[in-house]
Amino acid sequence: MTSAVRTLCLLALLAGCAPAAYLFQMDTSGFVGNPSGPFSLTFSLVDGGGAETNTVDITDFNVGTGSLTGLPVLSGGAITIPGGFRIVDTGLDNRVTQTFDPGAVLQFLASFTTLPDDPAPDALSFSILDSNGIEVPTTGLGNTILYLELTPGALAELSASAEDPSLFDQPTFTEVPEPATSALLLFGGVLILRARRGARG
Amino acid sequence: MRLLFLASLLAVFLCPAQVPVAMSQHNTDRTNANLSEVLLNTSNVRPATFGKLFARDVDNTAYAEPLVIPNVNIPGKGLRNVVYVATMSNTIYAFDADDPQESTPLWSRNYGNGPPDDSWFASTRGILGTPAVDLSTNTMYFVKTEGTATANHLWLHAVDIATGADKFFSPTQLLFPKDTGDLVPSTPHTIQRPGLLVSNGSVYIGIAYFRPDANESWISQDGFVVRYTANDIRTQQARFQTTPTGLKGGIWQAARGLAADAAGYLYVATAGGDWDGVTNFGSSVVRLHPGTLAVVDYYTPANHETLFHGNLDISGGGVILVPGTDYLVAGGKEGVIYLLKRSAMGNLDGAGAGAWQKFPGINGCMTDCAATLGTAWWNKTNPILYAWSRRDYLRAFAFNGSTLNTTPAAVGTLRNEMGGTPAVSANGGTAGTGIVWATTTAANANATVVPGVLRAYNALDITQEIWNSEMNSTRDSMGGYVKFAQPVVASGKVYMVTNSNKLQVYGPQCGVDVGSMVTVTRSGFRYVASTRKYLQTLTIRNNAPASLSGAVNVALDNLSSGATLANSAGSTSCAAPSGSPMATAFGLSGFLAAGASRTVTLEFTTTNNNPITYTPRVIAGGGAR
Repeated sequence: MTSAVRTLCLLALLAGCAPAAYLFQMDTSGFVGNPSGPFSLTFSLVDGGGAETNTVDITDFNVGTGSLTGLPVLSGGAITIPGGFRIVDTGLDNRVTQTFDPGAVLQFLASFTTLPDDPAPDALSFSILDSNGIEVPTTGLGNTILYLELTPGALAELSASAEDPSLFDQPTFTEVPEPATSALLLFGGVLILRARRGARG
Repeated sequence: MRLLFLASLLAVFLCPAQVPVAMSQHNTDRTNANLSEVLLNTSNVRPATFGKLFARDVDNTAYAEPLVIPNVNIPGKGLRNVVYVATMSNTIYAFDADDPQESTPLWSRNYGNGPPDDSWFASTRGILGTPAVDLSTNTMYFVKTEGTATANHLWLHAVDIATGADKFFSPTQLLFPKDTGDLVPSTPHTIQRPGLLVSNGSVYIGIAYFRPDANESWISQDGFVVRYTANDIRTQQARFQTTPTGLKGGIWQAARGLAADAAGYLYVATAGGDWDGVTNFGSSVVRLHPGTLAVVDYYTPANHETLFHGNLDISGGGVILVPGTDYLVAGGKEGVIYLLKRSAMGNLDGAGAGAWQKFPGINGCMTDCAATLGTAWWNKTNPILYAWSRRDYLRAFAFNGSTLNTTPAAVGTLRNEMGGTPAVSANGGTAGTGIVWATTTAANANATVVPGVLRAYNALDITQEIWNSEMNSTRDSMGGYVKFAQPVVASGKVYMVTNSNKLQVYGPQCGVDVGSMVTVTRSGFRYVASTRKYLQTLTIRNNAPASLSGAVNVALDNLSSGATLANSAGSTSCAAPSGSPMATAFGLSGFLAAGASRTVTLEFTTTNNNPITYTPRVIAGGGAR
């Protein structure tokens, strides 16, 4: 393998390992028909130390047989974008609240920057509110379901379950390579494979 | 990306226990030094910032040192830091060590009536020697005197530190050999003075035993060390008698506890008595086998006859084992300081034998004078021996690793009438943290009650008295002085027994800023829509070598305009700056062990959209906030 090919492969692989979007998933079948509804999804980006820098995109919602209903309530640096919301750190509190008709599943993609703030990091928190605007009780601090610190090597914290585990249990938040990154990863892999075959020949 | 789940993020470590005071002089080396003290220093032990926090009533004089055991699970009350006081009425008190409001003992128990005393000590003779606690079994061992004026005997108790209940077949009567070899109970006036020793599953007791003998012109005060199995005290397992075929040689050591090395060998100083180097070991320092209590080595000064007949006990100070070395320090009424090698103690002074080093360190005396050699050892890079005797000045002697400098590095400015018995507190060898504590009196305390003064000196310059209990006597007065009683320093407090039926507790009047000892890590904020609160966690890690205890709060200085700490536990009013809202990490009975972390949740509200900013200040100790 030539050094140029080796470098290309390395770049492709590195691109494949870089942070991308994260997929949040949870089973919301326990919410279907629940008398505490209608429910709302609320995403809040809170400034940590005054350096207003970070941005979070919440997109690609999938609520199964359910749907997002009505218009979102936006505050601070929150705006709508195609397929979801963008929340920009423009002040202490930047928030989106969106009512939804639950299906069996809730999933969305979260893409975010991880610029450090000091002495506390910027953080995104996600909760589900009941019809009275009260958080569904969870095992997370402040009844959050997802808490995400926007720092290099971002720190995510998931509520293990609702206080009533029949409502939901074990949500996940996993990295999903972006399409371009996936292509680069695939390309790099192919290059390595071909180079090895060439060396054997 | 690290995915940490809630449980791990909020982990609050179950802390190992903080440094306890489980025996007299803090440790089996009997250094009389607490080198894990992180709250007291030469800056905050000052009249404006340090003084009496509270006092506790007890039923008689206490000669035994108070013991401080953290995290004791008291039935019905939970985990508490406990200070134990043993009195001359045979009562043990267990008080909350930290809470000024909890004046009622967590438990107390009287273990029987002591005989009326000859007023040399107190109105009655009860528990004299400092108890010892076996932390592996949560058991306290102590010796009481029980009975009437003409028939009283010594008994060993083993009690549960959580309740005071007897255990391990407690109590058992101490028995002594008659000339015939029969074992009999102790006679009146027998005293158990040295602090007890618990080591390697055994309990050791030092005794000065009165042996009435019609054929003698005096009553012999023979010395004994006896051993019992810690978890079954019914039967005496071994016995060392200082002068089995001679007279005297009592073991009292001015109350200092029996010392033991890592292998369990005991080091004991005997009072004036017959000596032959084979059977009788009066006026000596002996090394005893931990099992048989046989003498395996000894040192005896050449003038032992003079010491014997002049009542100049070499035992009037006990033994310090110099930590990390092969040396020990001893000395007594004569004022001579002996530095001996443990592995070759020297035997009788003479050509090619004798003490490694000896020199007249303090004034001492030439005949019966009731002087003692109070000592403490600050073990650091350049170790220091502190010594203070009766009618003398506090002195500091530097140790170079093999000898003591015979010229004191410093001499205090106060000549006492009685007292001394210095104790050291410091954060390791850190400059600015070393304090020499001592009590003195300006009058003769033998057979009468005289006022005492608790004193604190800069350990690196003992000419500097940085605080004493008479600088603000209205607040800090100590009360009646107790001979040989040593201040006990633990976790930012100084515990002092008195001849006024009180335990006095001193400490910083305000909480201490321990910012240099901890790191504080802040999480981001999470917004709770229903309450409109912003939650943040602070993780406090103790980087100090010792526990932080006696309540830990976090004050938020310079909290940004518009923000309010919704779960505030009040505001600082004593610990400057004042007016800062506080959150509580843990209360008076909690502690944060060295290297451990604790997470505190802060709840904020705000009237604007500005960032919530502040400067965290971690405050520890028992003083006001």
